[in-house]
Amino acid sequence: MLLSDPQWLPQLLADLKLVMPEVILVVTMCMVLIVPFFKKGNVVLPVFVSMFGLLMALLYTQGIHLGVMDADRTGQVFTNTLAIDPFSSFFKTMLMIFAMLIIVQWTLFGREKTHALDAPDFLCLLLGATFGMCLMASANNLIMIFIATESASIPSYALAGFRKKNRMATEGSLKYVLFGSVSSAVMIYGMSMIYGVSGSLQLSHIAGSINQMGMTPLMVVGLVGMFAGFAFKLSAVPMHFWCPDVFEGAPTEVTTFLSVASKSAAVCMLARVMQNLGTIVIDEQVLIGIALGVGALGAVTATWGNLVALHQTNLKRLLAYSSISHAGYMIMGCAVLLLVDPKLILSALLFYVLVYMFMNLGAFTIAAVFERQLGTLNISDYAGLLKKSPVLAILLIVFMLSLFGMPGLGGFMGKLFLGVGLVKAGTLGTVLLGVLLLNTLFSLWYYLRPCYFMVFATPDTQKQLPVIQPLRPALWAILAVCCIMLLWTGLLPAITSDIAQDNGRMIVSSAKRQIALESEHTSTVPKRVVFTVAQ
Amino acid sequence: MYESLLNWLIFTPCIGAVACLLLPADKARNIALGTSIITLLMTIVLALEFQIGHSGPQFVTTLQWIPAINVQYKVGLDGLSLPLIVLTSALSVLVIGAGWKIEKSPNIFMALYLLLLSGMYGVFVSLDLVLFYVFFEISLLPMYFLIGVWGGPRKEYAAIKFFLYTLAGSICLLITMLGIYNVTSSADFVAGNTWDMMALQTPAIQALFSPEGEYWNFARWAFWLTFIAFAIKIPVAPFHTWLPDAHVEAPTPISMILAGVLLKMGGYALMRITYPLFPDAASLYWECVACIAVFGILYGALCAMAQTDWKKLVAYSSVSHMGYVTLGIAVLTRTGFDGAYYQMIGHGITSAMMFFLVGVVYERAHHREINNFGGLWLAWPKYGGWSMLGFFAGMGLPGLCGFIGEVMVLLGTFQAAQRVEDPTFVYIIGSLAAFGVVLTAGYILWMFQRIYMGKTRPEYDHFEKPTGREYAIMVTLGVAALIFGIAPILVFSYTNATFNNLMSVIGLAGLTN
Repeated sequence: MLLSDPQWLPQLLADLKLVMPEVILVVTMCMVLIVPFFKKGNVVLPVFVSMFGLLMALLYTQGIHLGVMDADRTGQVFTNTLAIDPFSSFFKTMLMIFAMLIIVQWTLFGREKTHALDAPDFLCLLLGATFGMCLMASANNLIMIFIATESASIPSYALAGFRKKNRMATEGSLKYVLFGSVSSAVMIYGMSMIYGVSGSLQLSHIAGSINQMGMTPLMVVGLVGMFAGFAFKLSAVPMHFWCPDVFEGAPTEVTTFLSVASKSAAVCMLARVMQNLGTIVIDEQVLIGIALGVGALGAVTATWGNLVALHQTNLKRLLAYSSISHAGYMIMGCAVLLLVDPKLILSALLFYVLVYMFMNLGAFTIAAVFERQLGTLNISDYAGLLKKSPVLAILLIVFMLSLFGMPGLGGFMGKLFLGVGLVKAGTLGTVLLGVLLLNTLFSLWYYLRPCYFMVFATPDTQKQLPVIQPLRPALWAILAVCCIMLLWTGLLPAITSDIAQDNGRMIVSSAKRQIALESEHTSTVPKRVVFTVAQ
Repeated sequence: MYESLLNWLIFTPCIGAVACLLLPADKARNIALGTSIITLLMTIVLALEFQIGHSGPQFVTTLQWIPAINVQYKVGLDGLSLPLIVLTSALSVLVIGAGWKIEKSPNIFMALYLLLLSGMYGVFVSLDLVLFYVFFEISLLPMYFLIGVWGGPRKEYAAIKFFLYTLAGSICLLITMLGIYNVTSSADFVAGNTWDMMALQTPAIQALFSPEGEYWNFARWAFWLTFIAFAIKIPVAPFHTWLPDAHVEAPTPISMILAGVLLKMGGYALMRITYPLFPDAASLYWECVACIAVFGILYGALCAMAQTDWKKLVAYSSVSHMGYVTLGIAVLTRTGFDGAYYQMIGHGITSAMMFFLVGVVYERAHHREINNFGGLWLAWPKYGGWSMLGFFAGMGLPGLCGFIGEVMVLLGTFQAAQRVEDPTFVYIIGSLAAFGVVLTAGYILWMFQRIYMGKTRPEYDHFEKPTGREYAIMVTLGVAALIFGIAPILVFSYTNATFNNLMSVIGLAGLTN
């Protein structure tokens, strides 16, 4: 059908322009794999290539972003399977910056001999995962959602087990694969039901069919299945079991990457689904029902993550559970997307993701430093660290307090924006807000734990920790960037929040128009499908 | 030219804190002292430039802080804030004097203390709810470290307890704030949502929170949530349990600032936020709040009487005295409000002095067991004299600053009989609160007798005599207690116009004297 259209080639080229960042990423992946043929055992070259590729992709994203803004084009490409809109562009920009920081972090930490040989593999996997996450942020279609999720997950499985000889890493990676494949299966099962009921893979059409037929039980089952798949990527309770093990076992760079990028990409995907439903579905009851379900998922995730984090003694596991609870907060935001002005929530989510990226990056970087230099992740071993390396200790405290949501740091502003959105959503939103704030209260206890040991506790004289060697300047630079960003977003959030506001838009309106048109012409299609299913 | 002085007042301590950290550690004390003297001078200039008789905020700075959700950086000084600012500035100098001998990393101590000072100034001058919240929270963190690092044997426990309790209160406040922000958008006469405290006191918004208004249910919830938030800070009796621990473990200068200024943030916030915003809910529940307050007065006094730890006794006396503040506000009379406010100022002076007097002895004796003291007056006659002044001011002896607040609160309570149909309740409440004065006299005199009277003990000979620095602090506080005991006009001349306005906002202008 596509080929019968005489305009197919110009259309394809025009579409390709909009997905150029993803194309650049794929080309870079190939390049990274080819480069070692010419210069074996060199770290610098593949790192350079991948950084260059990411930078190009980043610039291209911004170019498209500005182009989209100016021309006010729909930005829905490849027969609406991908939506290139301000929200996804902003997110992709953040993701690429983040991937670059991760590469820097990885390069700096690598001191082993194998590092040089591993470089192409690692970078290729990282770029592949980044590519998948970019698609996740744009996916506007069930098939695309599935493909994007898988292409983000499969490199992640390999990344999680990257320390091949480490038992923890292998265990974590295996768990990740098993959970991932089961949840993928559940997701695609749910999607097939959704397709069966609505007769379309397009998110906006599915929402339109809910308008026409109401929430049939089959649709409910389908949606639950799909959200279960999302929950895996978000590490939402009850699909979170992989998270702490993977985070503990994986190299810290990978942990940082998964905890931020993978989760926030999943949040974007969830937000897009919710946004489509919220814009198109008319029935208030259905909307409240879905919001209730997703809100409950978020509330349970946040609470469970916090409660389990309360008695963690390992810094990385503690951060893993903290990231579960942060995912919970973001899911709550997505839940009320159906009920309030979406701009408010979308921009709050963007702001939150931005802040979350810097605080997690900072916290995990310090965890990595401690792991490598002190040889322990046990929080109680950090007693008296404030005296030995005051700057690192103070930075960790800053990141922890930001994760907790201390005013003056970015984490608080993220929660404030989210709270402003939540409270607008009536009773449900207020309840969710209450849950969020109560969780914040609990979380203080464990976020202060490292701080307690580093500042207050007296070190055990039996156990002598090695002295922390001076860090490389680039590592200080990463930490400084994180700290400055948190202070900046916390004290003077105006600029960041304005940017988030400008980008807190998703393209659904065109789909709305389309669905209106299509329902006039082809209103028979869904009915026929229902008939078939009923048989 | 003094418009921006208020901003400098808030941020000068921050600059001082950074200087303390960057410059050599042995200079930190001088830097901190210099910073606090500068802020004191600024405060004096502000007080002199302050237009008496003007009810609204002065020296106002308004800047857009977060335009996306309409948050402003709005600070200003009115009659409600000025005396507390003066108290803060004056105490801050004395507190640095009291902490002069801190041995353990004095630079970090002073930096945290100056950060705390910024937070306190910020709380007293913010006119925007979010800004207020930010300062309210920021003042918690330095306190946590100050207690946790420089405190006594159970410092970690006390520090985390303090942090968690007050944070629980803050969260109640945050929920209400977000609710208020949401509600204001539905008032079509307001241009968008607002966090501005002054805009929230306009009749249009007030109408929403009245019993006939659309958000009456919300207002009742909000009243209790904000009340709890600030009651934890004050602290009112059922929420007070963090206070004895925090005080006992905190080092002397921190106890002074905690009792002297931080507790006042709660009372101030009740007068600034809870009561002007939700006056109808307040008058609906006034009996309940008054009962809580009286319970606090009596319970605090009885607990103080049972203590054998000297510092804990003083800590419980704070619970009891701050109960009068709550009572004065709860009864909703002009005299009650004036009394409550004066009680805050008076208690700021006396509690700081009492904690300092305890600290002076504790530094030498290394214990605070009341029954192991005795005859201290004979050993240190001068110190004994100033102690008498301090503790008697705390007790509320006429002519000293503790008296005026308590008496006005009691008067205000009995005045409430005029506006209720059945005055029996008012009489009961008033009598019980008055009985609290007797209990106060009881525990203070009994403590005084056990510590200062009797035969002198041989171990006192080894104690170093109080130094000139310590006498200077005692004398300053003692003289202040005396001055504010005879010239309440010093405070009331500043607060009068603002309180008139506050009363009209609360809707009690016609009811009072």
